[in-house]
Amino acid sequence: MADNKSLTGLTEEEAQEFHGIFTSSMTAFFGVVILAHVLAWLWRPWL
Amino acid sequence: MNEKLYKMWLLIQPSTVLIGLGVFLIVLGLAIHMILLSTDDFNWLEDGIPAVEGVQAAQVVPQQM
Repeated sequence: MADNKSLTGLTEEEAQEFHGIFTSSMTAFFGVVILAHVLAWLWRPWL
Repeated sequence: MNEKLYKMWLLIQPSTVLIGLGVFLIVLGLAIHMILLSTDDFNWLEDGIPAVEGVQAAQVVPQQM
């Protein structure tokens, strides 16, 4: 089962590994986004 | 978050998602910057506020007539 190629050609392990990198990268990116919004709000609040 | 969410990568291409996400975020970022620069309230380049560093007030020299 684990060695069976899926629709995308990834194995379970590869999908899990990619998901880990993707999730941590997305979290880091959101952190930068939130920081940018806090700084922008301090510069000029828009509401 | 669902522990089985990683299985989505068995169904959709990671490469397609990465390229699509990259293009989308770059276009979104450029759009937001352009929209802000086009407004009077949030244009940071032409708001008449000089940068703090490296800008000194013009020296006032008494003129001799």
